[in-house]
Amino acid sequence: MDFSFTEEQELLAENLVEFMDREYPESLIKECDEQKIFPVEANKKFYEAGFGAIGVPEELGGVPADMVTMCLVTSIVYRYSWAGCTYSPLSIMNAADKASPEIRTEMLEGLMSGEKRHSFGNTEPGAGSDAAGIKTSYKKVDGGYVINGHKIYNTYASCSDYNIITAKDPEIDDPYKAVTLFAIPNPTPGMTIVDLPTIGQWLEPTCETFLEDCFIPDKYLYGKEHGGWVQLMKHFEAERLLCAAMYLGQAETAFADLCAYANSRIQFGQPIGKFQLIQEKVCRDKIILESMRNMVFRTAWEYDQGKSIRIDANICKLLCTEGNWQICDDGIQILGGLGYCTDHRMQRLWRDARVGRIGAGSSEILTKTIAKDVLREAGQYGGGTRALGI
Amino acid sequence: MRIVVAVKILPDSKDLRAGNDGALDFSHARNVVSEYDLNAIEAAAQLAASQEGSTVKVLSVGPASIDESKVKKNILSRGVDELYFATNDALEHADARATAQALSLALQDVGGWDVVICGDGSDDFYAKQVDAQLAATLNVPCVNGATLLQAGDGCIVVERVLEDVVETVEVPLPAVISVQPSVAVPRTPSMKDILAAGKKPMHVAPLDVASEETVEWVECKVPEPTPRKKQICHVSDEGAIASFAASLKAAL
Repeated sequence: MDFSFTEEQELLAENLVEFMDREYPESLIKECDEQKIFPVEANKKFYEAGFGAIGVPEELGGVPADMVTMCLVTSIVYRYSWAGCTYSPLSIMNAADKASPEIRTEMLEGLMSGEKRHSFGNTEPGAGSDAAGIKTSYKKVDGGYVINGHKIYNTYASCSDYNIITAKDPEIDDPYKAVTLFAIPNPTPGMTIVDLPTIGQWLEPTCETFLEDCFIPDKYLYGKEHGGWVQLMKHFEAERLLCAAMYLGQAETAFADLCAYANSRIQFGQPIGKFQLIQEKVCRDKIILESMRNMVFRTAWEYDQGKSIRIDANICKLLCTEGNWQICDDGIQILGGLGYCTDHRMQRLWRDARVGRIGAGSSEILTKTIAKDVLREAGQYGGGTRALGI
Repeated sequence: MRIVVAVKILPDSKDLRAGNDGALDFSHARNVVSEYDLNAIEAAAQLAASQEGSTVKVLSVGPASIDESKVKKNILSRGVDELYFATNDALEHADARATAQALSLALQDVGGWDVVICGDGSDDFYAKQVDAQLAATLNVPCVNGATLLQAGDGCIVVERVLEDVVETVEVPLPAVISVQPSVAVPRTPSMKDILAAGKKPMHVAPLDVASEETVEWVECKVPEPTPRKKQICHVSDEGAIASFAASLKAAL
């Protein structure tokens, strides 16, 4: 087994860390968090330096990269801030696949320069984990579509250039065949977006979108009509894995901070890291962090080998969101009063970490799905340890 | 213009550890390009970009241990066309004189050149001597402290920031020029640059040189930590500032 990165990956990581240290200093992220704004200039420089093109196919002007590299880049970027950078090669690939010829070039140029961004909304007041239970519907009219519905917890929608949403054709009963994707330009008459107050992830707003007789021309159909569900599933596992890499990056920062504090905070004449109850947390968090790293990069390697990551991508997401939460919470505990004060970033990491266990597949849904898939796989092998692969 | 950048490969100071006896432990340190040389490489790449048909080659001399694939790719991802490493273990602790002599010898294998650009100094010794000694060995003019390089007709126009003026010097080629860090900010190589680096020419060959050192390497140790004296001057006390200043002077 070879767990090492290639020289190219190491060089890329070193350059990226140097860049992020320079362009995403903690002082900037702290200010953006306090003012609830996105670091536009730093994000622009990230794309100018060519990092945003990593993992994007060459024909789209990108630099092809394997999943291990994309996870490495993602985890490093998220060490510095939650969503302070729009790095998302899969968004670019989605746009290349689904955008109509009339808007494709404009969309890709905007995404590749980091100047434009899309939001995605499926969740509705009555459809969260039950993703197919959406009520938002559309009707084909002359020259376009009219959409009516209500989306909620729409990340970044109010600031996005396109709000990609799911809507059902009410004429079709099967919910999996009724869904169509639309890219609604922001603003569009009939679409109202409001920001929701949240406890974390303040660099990007969480929004609620109201669609009332919202007309959009044909060119904003995103992918094939009635093919929305299949299209959403295309990069689903890779997206889930990259999501896990984001929480891995955040956990790396929280862990580094809690170790630094355990070594420097003196109580009773010695660093608090000398006390066993602090050591217990440090030890537990190190085990969690290394498990997260191993799982994310092993799964990325499996993806690159063309193996199925259906179960492992879910395990990554569950492990990394729960693990990150544990590490950030231990971070607050170890830092004590300092961790509870907003002057230190640990509280921001803790606030930003919480939603990981809810969004993009809640821990409960993931647990249920993993268990179901694992048991099914074990059953296929008729018991014993053959399901382990060796 | 045919540009050669002379660089030093050395252990990363961030990886150095001190043993109990104060001796430096290099065993965990990976090799890196001396930081000031990254500015020199960038200045060379920008100078080459300003004049069509220019080439940038990087040359380093040192022990065989400098021949690390990752270091070479790092250099070649920064707008450099070709790389030359000339190695001899006798150069492990080479001083400025020995380094200059080795560089002048290794330059013969690089082919024709118009200018050799050096960094401001090396991360380890920072003696700032190699540029002048190399120029003397090669019998070409030398300008140091350059903050701006511009290609001229058979020359390079160099700006140097002196105490109260900015001096502009026209240096006929061939020449050796050393640059200040402010001359150019090292680029952040993109993934594309990094991938392309591995495909560029890398020449590594032993260098037959008798190291003529003028400095003898005796030992290199971390200074003993000085215990804090815990002298406290309260600003409200009479004469506190004078006492503070006197303590500082005494310590220096």
